[in-house]
Amino acid sequence: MLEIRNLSKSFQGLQVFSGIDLTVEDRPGEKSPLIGVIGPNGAGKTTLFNIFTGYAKADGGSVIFDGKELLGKKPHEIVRAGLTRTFQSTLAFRQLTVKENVLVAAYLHEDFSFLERFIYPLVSLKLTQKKTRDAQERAEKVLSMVGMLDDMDMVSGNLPYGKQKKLGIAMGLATEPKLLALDEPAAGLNPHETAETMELLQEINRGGTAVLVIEHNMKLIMTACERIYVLSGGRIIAEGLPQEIAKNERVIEVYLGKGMTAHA
Amino acid sequence: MKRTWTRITIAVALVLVVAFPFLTNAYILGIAQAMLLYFIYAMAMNLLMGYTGIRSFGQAGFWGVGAYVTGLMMNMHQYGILSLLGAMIIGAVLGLAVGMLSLRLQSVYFFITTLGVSEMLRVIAINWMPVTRGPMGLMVQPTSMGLFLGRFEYQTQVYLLSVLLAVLCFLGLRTLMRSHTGKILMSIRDSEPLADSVGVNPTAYKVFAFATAGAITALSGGLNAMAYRIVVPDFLSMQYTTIGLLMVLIGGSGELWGPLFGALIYVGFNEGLRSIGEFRLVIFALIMILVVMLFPKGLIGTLKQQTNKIKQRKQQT
Ligand SMILES: Nc1ncnc2c1ncn2[C@@H]1O[C@H](COP(=O)(O)OP(=O)(O)O)[C@@H](O)[C@H]1O
Ligand SMILES: [Mg+2]
Repeated sequence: MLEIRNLSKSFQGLQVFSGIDLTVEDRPGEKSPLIGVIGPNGAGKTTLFNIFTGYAKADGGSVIFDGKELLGKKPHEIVRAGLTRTFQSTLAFRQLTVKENVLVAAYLHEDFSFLERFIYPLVSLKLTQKKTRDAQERAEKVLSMVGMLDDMDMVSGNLPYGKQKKLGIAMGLATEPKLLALDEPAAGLNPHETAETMELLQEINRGGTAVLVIEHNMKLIMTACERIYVLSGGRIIAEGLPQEIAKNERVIEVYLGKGMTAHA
Repeated sequence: MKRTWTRITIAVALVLVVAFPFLTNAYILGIAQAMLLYFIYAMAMNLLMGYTGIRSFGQAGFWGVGAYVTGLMMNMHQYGILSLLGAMIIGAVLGLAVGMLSLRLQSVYFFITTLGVSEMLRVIAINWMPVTRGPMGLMVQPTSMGLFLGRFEYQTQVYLLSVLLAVLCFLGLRTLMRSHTGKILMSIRDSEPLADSVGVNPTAYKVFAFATAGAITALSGGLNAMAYRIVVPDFLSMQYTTIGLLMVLIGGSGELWGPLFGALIYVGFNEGLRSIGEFRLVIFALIMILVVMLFPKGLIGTLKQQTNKIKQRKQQT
């Protein structure tokens, strides 16, 4: 599904990473993959996400998704191809309600024509009623799945942090991706919210969506993910099953050693 | 119940507005006329700044171009209403062109491009003597608007046409902001990268907003040419952009009714301070800065905030 090959990136001559290979397999008829990416702060995890979702340019390498090259494509084109990402800190459209937030994402697959986008909305809402109702139904379905139906009419900027993060995931879901890439979905959450997020990710995954997740919380990633990549010092230093990663000496040295043992 | 009352109030106000030319003198009607056309201008600016998050520092370019197109068309073929349509089409095309060139760039380049284009147009207006008559200004010949308006005096015709167009713009923008496209515009305002990440092509929607606002701004400028029958290069200057921005800030950015109050207050102040003469603009600017500092959410925004607070207090007790 996603094949990242030999990817490299530097900022103003300063190398962030090079030679990165990462694969999310296509497994038709089987359980969808749920894959984790870990690594110390500043390792380049977010930069990696930014590259394959169209927010940053790579220096070299390739990113193939469903047989098509993603490098050079714009973020909204990549979403249309079936790969959606969430952000570490930009969570929601602050002045819109929870439902409107999810709606904007749900409009994606309504495929509005030029007239429906830019002319009819100036004339009458009735002209696009069928499609907007469809989108509303899907938005409500997503909100009920993440347990936020009761917050539907809240202005998202007024929500507590945990719910804003959840809303970010709901918006990603509403675009109905084949692969959902999440950048630290549990960062800043309390243990209860973290557990909820973990369950949500597994539920999404069971529903047939492949999930690629960056996470700092070792417990979450070790229990939820079937395979883990460790990014450190500009390289993938390890890749494998959670048990293997937990025992890998280099990983323990560069990652767990730095005060992260407590979480593991 | 509350909705019924709002509707009755709006209906009564609208009747009064329509009856106004027959109840007052030419001077007062001229002021009401200004309020109407600035209301239209403020709605365009609100679409850009308040709803889409685009800060255009060259909006006067559209306003002035609308004034020239309308003025020239009225003089050439005595087209009344068609000359406004001409202004809107040129405004939209200019908006499309400038928008497609500069809206995909970072905001600093957009700032420079919009400002540059409006300044360039001003220089053209000053120097293209045979067409614009340069700094002397273009005189506009009055002509009948036709339709049902033909029977009234010229000033009344333009006024009633302005009421009709202001109401149409208001209803159109209200519908837009309730539609899926409106929500997408507001999502871009709140966060462009996030909108991009859920499949919105921000540039396309921003170009749409810019072209639509361009057409509406040009309409306002056209009405100004029609009503006061003179067009000068100064209409393309930064001063008129500032007026647009201020009206939105005063009324409340991103508020449906904000532009109406922004326009009423701006034109009201402007007339009230006329006797002071040259210092008027300075004093006006100071008052506006004060207003914006005291009511950062604008008049409508602040009012909403206060009523919400009162509501909450009532619920608590
Ligand atoms: N836009 C940028 N310009 C310059 N340096 C950047 C930029 N974005 C990230 N970096 C640098 O790249 C490195 C990787 O950052 P990031 O991808 O955010 O790491 P992570 O997500 O793993 O914590 C850091 O050293 C960071 O300072
Ligand atoms: Mg990061």
